[in-house]
Amino acid sequence: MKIEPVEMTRVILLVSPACTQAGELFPNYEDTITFKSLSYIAKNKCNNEPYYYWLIYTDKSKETAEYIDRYFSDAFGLNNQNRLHRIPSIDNAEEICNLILQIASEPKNENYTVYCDCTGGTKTMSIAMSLACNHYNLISETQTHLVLTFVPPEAFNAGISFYQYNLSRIIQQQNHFGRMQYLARFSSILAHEIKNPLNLINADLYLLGKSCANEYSQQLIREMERSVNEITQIIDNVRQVVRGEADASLTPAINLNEVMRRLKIRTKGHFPSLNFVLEGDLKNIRLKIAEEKLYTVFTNLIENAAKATHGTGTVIFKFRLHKNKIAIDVSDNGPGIPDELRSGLFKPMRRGININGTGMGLHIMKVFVTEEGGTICYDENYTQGARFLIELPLDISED
Amino acid sequence: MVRILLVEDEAKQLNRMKEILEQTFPDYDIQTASTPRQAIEKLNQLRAFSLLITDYDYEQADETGYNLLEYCRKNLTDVPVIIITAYGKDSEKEVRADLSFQKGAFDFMHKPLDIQEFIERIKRAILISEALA
Repeated sequence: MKIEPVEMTRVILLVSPACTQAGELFPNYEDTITFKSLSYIAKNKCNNEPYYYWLIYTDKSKETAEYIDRYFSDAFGLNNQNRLHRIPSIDNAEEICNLILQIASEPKNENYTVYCDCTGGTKTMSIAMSLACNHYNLISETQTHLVLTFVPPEAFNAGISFYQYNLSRIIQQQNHFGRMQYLARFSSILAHEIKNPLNLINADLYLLGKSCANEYSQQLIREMERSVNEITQIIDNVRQVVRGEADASLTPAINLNEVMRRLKIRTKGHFPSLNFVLEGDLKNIRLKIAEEKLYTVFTNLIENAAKATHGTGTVIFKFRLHKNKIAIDVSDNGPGIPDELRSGLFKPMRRGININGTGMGLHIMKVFVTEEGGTICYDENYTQGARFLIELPLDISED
Repeated sequence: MVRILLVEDEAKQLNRMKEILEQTFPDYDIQTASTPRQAIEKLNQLRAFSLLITDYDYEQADETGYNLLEYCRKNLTDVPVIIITAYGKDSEKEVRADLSFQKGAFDFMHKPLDIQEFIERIKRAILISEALA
């Protein structure tokens, strides 16, 4: 007798080779996490009502997949065809993603929930599911949503029988990440396309300079060469911003002490007469921010301080913990930013007192800090130079 | 006789660079090619090159400047190679200074070129090439 599932639920399980070979890793097929995923979903999501499922397996996990299929198809009485899909390996994330999409996209005009399980936690499989999520958000015209059920390796290794991890936030992050990755690739191509004609302009200016004795013409040529350099710098800065966002998705925590140590060495090399001061205890403070981003923010501030003090002043980094954040005050003893330049200070193409800059440095800092859940502002009340106030969330509290 | 081979697939850039080198080094023989494959043919035909300057990206020809660099390192060990690219330091393309040097490039420059610097680097490369000859 044909049974139609009451709830429109679809479950796609990737039966990883890692959780197969019953007898080696698991005494019984029922102990495999794939089996437990299906049971869990039946009980907690579908009130033990039938649902459609598909199993994607490799040669290594074939036996497990077949056993599980026999068990559940008997239990649910399902008769949907092609429940078992073989993939040659788990190395190709795109191939797995395409298969997930293919299975999950029929029928097109129904609302349904797809659970996708990546048992064993292989990186390729999680990438495949993330890719599938990105596709779903871009092309789905229904209420379909893809929910990831993922067993992280540490849970698996600890023998936890089932662990459902709601990755909806990560799905959103992955979508954003996917779009930023696309932008990063596009901006790389764009930068390349712009730099080639700029190269031609530089060559033409050089030849023009050689053929032109006129002082005024020489001056104009030099101005044009400076403009070419400025355009190049802007392109590189924009790339930096876009790439920074694309790179900063699932970022590991960084050790602030280590970042400041490197920064101190760099500052000594670039600005040997600049006095670099650190205040506050940085031991064991870790931040969840892309290291390159934080480094860029701090180097920009140091360079601004060096320019403002002609390389001979003092730049102070003061750190204070406050609840689950860290406050970082960065000050110098230069002239400060004039009142008339403070409005829109962090907007792109706004030059401060450094008229030879591209106007992107402060904007980049703002983008980087804000993307990491922090804040940055200029301290209008500080009169002994320039001071920037930064706050960043701590990922792991001080031990 | 100092002979330089310039390799670049974008015709205008190639012509400009040739013009600059001919003006700067009127006694040198400046040869050109549009793809690594053409460059290799020229290297085999004319021989006795003192310097090779190549762009990195030859997408139309499905080759890169590294193909040419590798050929030179295998077959023309004394010819310095300068790699030029419009791709940035953090580009996804596999072209970087450190990688280029690892592969045996003599020098590496980003576009847009500072022409004066470009000329000085060529002089330095020729100096080394003549010392090795």
